[in-house]
Amino acid sequence: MTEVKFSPLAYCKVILHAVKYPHASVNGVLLAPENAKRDGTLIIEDAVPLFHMALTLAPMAEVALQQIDSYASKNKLIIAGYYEASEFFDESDVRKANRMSYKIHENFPGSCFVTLRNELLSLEQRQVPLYASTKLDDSGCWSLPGKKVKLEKESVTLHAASILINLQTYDELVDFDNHLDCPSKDWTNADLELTIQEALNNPDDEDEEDSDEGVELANN
Amino acid sequence: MAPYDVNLTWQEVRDIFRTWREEKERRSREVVDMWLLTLKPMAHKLGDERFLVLEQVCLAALDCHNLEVADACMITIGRAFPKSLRAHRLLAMRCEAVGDKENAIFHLEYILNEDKTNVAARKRLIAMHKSVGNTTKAISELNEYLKSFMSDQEAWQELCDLYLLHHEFSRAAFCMEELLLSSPHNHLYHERFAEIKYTQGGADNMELAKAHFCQAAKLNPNNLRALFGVLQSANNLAQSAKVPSKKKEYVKLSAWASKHIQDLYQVAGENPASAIESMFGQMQLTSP
Repeated sequence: MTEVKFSPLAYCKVILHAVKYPHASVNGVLLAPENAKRDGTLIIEDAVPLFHMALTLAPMAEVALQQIDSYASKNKLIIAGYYEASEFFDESDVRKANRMSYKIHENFPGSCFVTLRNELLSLEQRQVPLYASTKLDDSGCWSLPGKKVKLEKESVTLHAASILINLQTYDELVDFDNHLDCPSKDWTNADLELTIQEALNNPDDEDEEDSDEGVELANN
Repeated sequence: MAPYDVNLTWQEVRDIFRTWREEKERRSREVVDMWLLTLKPMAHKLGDERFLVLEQVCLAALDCHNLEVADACMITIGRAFPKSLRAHRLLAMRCEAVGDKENAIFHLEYILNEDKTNVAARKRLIAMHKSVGNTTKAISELNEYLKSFMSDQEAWQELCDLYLLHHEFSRAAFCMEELLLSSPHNHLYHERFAEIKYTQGGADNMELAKAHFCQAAKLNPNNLRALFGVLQSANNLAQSAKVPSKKKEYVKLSAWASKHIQDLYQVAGENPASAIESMFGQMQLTSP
């Protein structure tokens, strides 16, 4: 099985999407550079959060994929994976994986199917809760449970994700459902990307915001 | 980073809570934050609404696992209504919130013994099956419930969602049909029904999907999902149309939808070019 490695941006977006809707299943697509190979390590550069309602319905999913395809080729990326975070903590019923993930696999056979393990997700991020499968088994279904996803700059990214969750930044995340409800909302999350980069580049400044005030009061 | 204005007066918060109660909005984090920040110190001024607000805050607090706030509300409600089954339900939900299933079931069954028609307790029992991931059991119990309470819209919606989880599209469509019978002017029901028909695929289903997407767009011209639905279904029908006049009709419908979508995007301030050019893309997820 090929390895899957997430960029800090993609990781934060997926986690924020899951945390924004704790009571619902969420899904989305993953983007990789257009020269991504079928074997070796699959690098996921970016993620596009899609839905938090009725994930199995086709029409809006098709509209989303068309728009994302167009966005991806403009930015020299391809749709290389699918992620889903289930609403259930324990799932005793086995369900079929979303059709979208198989469709993506048809177009790019090196694609991955990423699931979020709810029991490993916490507000203070200590480990990566994402598991990826890159192969289909004999019956044509994703071969689960898959391998733990690798993360670029793991400790910095986990720390930044914890900060973003604490600051409730997930409220700024726009998924495709939000966009369909209000077309002025940007599903590419360009503004959120800047916030995420800031948290990644200045991991200590976020904590220092409050402690600076403390120092001033003490000096006075 | 709060999504609401922290400078709201307590009266404004009280009015917002009332709106959220009427519209059954699940805004648990905001309810708890706004309660603690603004409304709690003025709770004595709430008059008749006081216990409705306390119940709302209690449920929101259980959702956020804030047991301190939940318990405080429950104690106040319990003192005022010591024999109330409605208050007893909160106790059962508190047990659920800490994962104590046996006691939750015990309390809910107590309520049902006292009052066999207590809808809230029955629904909570069904919800408990769902919460442990046993959606099959939840579906069968919900079907049983709907035999007695067939006008319960919330239950039909929940059953529809459960069927969708299992890709049982024809059964999900049946649930939406029940909802459409009781609320034929609800654009969201038409749109959801259309999406299910579209997903099932096939010429007849696609026609039905197109019809219901059109109805949804007629009832609410700003429903972007309905407009996209009209566009997608019209395109699909145009591609497989054998009669040239029918094909022309579908192409015209597709163009109409496309124009309205562009208008909506222009009003929203989005650049429609990227949306439109990808609209004639090739990816289809329905079965051929």
